[in-house]
Amino acid sequence: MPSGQPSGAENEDHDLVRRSQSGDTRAFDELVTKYRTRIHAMTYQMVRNEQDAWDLAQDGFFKAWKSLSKFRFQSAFYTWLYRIVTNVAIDWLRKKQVRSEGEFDETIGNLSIEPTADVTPKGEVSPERQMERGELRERLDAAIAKLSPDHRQVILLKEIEGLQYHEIADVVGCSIGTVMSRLFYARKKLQSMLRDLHENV
Amino acid sequence: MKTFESSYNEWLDGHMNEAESSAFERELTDTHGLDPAAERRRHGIARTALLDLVENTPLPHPDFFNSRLLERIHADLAASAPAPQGAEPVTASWFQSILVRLALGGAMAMFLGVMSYRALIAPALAPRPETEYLAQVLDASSPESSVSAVPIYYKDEKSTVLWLDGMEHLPDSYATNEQRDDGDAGQ
Repeated sequence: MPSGQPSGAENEDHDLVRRSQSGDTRAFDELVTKYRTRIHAMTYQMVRNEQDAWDLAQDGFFKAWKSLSKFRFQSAFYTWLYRIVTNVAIDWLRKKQVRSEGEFDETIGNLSIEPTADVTPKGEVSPERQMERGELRERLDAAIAKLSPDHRQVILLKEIEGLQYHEIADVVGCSIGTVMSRLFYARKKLQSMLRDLHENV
Repeated sequence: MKTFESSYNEWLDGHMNEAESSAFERELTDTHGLDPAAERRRHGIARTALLDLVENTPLPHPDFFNSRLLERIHADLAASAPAPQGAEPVTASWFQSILVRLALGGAMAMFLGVMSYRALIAPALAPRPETEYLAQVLDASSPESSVSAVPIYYKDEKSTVLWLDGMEHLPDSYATNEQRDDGDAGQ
């Protein structure tokens, strides 16, 4: 899911953006349909609440619509879009002053879970594998929830969106040194929380 | 001087050249007691699981998501659209309707006031015409049986004449103005 996109898809997006800029709401609707799930998933992982994530994704798309005239076609539309949505989510987090209920909980690392190497979809999977995958998602979901919002933002922007360090610093509004520190600790915490998986792979 | 955290991230994300990478891996093993291969594997598993998790986070009510968003966009477009030429702004027409209502109310109040004045106050203030006290003799009689009294009313003259038929002279007790004047003069 990194931000790199085939140029064909990018061109298609840019064409839809041009039509949207001229007031074609149906063209913008196509862009929304294309990216709504991805944007919502990102906001959900940041705020950890389904309803808030839904509303923030709405606000992000609406803000993007209002700012379409500022899009200069120098980057992929999605890159531009998720920066807007990320900023909306970060502003929301700042306003709510969300505090992590607790950082890393060592007990999570000891929960029994069947380790699996094939966590990525590879064609047909058996019901057992699907169940394992579901458990793994629940496990990781809980682990991400244990990260602080600051750590969560940074690791999502790096691992999911594939941003460069300086881009993350720009979006989050901190120094590259802070990004490096947060990213390191977020990675180590996730690794620790999934320790038993690592040991069994 | 790079911090350990910075170097670790750059090593994991492949931002180091071969020499730097080898040097850092030695540092990981010798100084921190970490296995570079295990570190990469842990990172790979966590990243893959993270991607899988995000990809499988469903969007609730996806169709409503679009319709709600378009609703907001259309409302915003309608709010920011300039008023068509010739049409009064909403505030102006609102103000105008208030003025019309005030004018109608004022006219109605004035009409009621005039009518009340004319019906109740004006008649009381108007000068009343002089009352004509017309005397009309309805019946007349005479103590003398030889004299008959007949009152005759002349409408045009607005006067009544008492016609005494059969009376030869005025009674003594009846003094005319001339006799009184004469008597007064003689005294």
